[in-house]
Amino acid sequence: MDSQNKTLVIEVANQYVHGLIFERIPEGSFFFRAHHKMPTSASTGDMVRAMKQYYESEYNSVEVVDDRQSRISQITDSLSSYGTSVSIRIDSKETIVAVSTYGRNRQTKSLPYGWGAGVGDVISIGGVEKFNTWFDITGAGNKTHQFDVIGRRIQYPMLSAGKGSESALSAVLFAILSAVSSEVQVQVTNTGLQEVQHSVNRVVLSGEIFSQEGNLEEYIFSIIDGLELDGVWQILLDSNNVLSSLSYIVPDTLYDVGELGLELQGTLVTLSHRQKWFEDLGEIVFDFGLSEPMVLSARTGEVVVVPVSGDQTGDMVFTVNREVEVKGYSPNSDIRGGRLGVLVDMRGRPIKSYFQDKSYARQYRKWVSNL
Amino acid sequence: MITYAKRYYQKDVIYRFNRLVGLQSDIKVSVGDEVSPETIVATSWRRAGFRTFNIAQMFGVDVSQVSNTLVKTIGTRVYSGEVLARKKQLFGLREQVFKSPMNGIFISFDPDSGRITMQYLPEEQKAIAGVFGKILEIQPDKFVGIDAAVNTIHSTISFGIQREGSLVEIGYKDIPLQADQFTAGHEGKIVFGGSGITLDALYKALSVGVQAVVTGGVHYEDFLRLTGSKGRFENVGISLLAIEGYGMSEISSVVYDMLKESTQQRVFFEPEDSMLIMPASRTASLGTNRVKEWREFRSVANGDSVRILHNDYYAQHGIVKSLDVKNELVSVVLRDGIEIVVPVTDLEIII
Repeated sequence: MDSQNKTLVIEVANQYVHGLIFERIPEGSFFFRAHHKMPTSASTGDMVRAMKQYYESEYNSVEVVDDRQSRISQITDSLSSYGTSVSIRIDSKETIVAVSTYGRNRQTKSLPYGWGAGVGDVISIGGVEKFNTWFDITGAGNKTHQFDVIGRRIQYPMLSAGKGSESALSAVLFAILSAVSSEVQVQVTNTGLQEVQHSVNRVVLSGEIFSQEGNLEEYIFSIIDGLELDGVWQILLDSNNVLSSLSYIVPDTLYDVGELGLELQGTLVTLSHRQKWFEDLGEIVFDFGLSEPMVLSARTGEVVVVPVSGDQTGDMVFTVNREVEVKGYSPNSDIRGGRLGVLVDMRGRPIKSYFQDKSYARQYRKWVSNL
Repeated sequence: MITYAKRYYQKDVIYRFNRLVGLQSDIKVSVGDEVSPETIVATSWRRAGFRTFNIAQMFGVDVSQVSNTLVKTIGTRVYSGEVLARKKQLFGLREQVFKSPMNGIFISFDPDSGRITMQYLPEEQKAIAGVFGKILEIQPDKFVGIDAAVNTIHSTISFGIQREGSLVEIGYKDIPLQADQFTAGHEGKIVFGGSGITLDALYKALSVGVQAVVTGGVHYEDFLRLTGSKGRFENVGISLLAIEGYGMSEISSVVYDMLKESTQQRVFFEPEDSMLIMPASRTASLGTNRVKEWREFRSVANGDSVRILHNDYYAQHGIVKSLDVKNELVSVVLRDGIEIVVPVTDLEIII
């Protein structure tokens, strides 16, 4: 690999050391080029040396992530020039969360929750029952086995997130994000600017399981329900573990997150209401520039996926009951698809008030299979 | 490719072993002394508590009559079998007696309830070294530090405080331990066996006075219910070592054989290092190999003996056949001949 204009950014996390190569192209933008990880098995100095050795002469400058909390805070500001952005980096025993609105940091916190040793702290605040509730509403079989899978991650945090782990990990993710949302305000902010700007709210999830192969669909509802997302949100997964490193190579506003290694899953649009399930809400028209607009009959208790790509942007027109609210939506909102598409969530809010609904588990499997 | 590595056991190694001693203990050794397993390192007197007996109920008399039945006065030392109370019936032709079931002191009588209270006599406690070694440090009322020659077994999961007792086998190697397998004969013992233990069985073990259970696994859900706010070092009256971790799994054969060889020996559970300590032979006591970290990271290689951590084959053992460095995958032949391919971090090298 040509080393010209390439920067190696090294992040020493408490589970892995990540080495990322970014390349500056003549127009001035950066492109994400490569990612390599190594278990954090020695001192920071040794791990940095090992990563440099791995990439040998493939770069011409090096940055080592110093203060992850500040770095995540900075990049979150850059992600939110036209709305609210939330970045959440979940490591083995630490979760860093940053919230920015319109380019200004509102809150940054480090919480003692994680996939590995940090699971213990999540359980201590939520109790075993929180996990049991999640297993019940998602219809996960054999709870005892699911708990064993969680316990093993405490012992072996680098375990792959592959087949058979999804239910347990989705429960851990839900518990971590529930804890995050109880400590940090995650909501769209309406300043009126949406009317004149190309507004977008973003939530970026970063952490080891998002960079591994597996059924990422299993984690979408943990994200939406854990954070209790309400309104219009783009959901991005950091499949290359770039989040902590981006502030070194992106000094200003980001325009194309995909080029930097973040993967857009799609846009979540929630129809906020407090009605019972399986009742008519009205009609939604989607216009994504296809041959003809798509018309959706809106019903409570449903999650509908419109499979459009991240390159496709469109408009939505809501003809719905007066009680229904779509927070943060304006005709100028940046509604686009992604790996999954546009997710229209008509389950109602607050979502946790619907967890006791007897049909939740059956519906959950249907929603996941729709993704 | 780097991944987890573990030592199941270490033989003939030197371990800094702190024998805990009670408050006001009389230390019987000095720094520099050489000790053997039976050497008494400290003695102390233990007050074992009280017992109450309802004489009115036992004799079937009104509480006001109880004082007339007592034949000992408050403050008297009473030995097991001595008569404490006597009730005459049928004009003195028959009598009913209450004999003390314990050595103790008659300390009180409550005329309102008809109950008497006995305090156990203080018992002399003798703390033995339990191992061959040399006294390195003495902290009165806290511990006697011994550089000990030991064999160790390392447990993936453990719970509880330092325990000791003679080692006894229980149950079957490949079946979880059942509550009815624990009997009064296990009181004061450290028992080993089974592919795991449930909460019910563990509570039964606790009720019969087992010191610690060494088994294959424990469900994480049960482990969470067992641990209180103080975490895994809490004293709930019993300690637990789950050699293979969470879930039910047979104890590795090599460890099981080692446990069997140590049956009836006095062994110790060290919670800080999650291990079982067994005294090494006298000939090994002069060795210089110190105990090593039992968990570390290592680079995997063909021919390595490994334990699988992946959910589908958890705790199965095998041999590394080949490596796919680019994709960080490892091909392993399990003991039953099946070949599987797993991510490198889904296995643990057995050192």
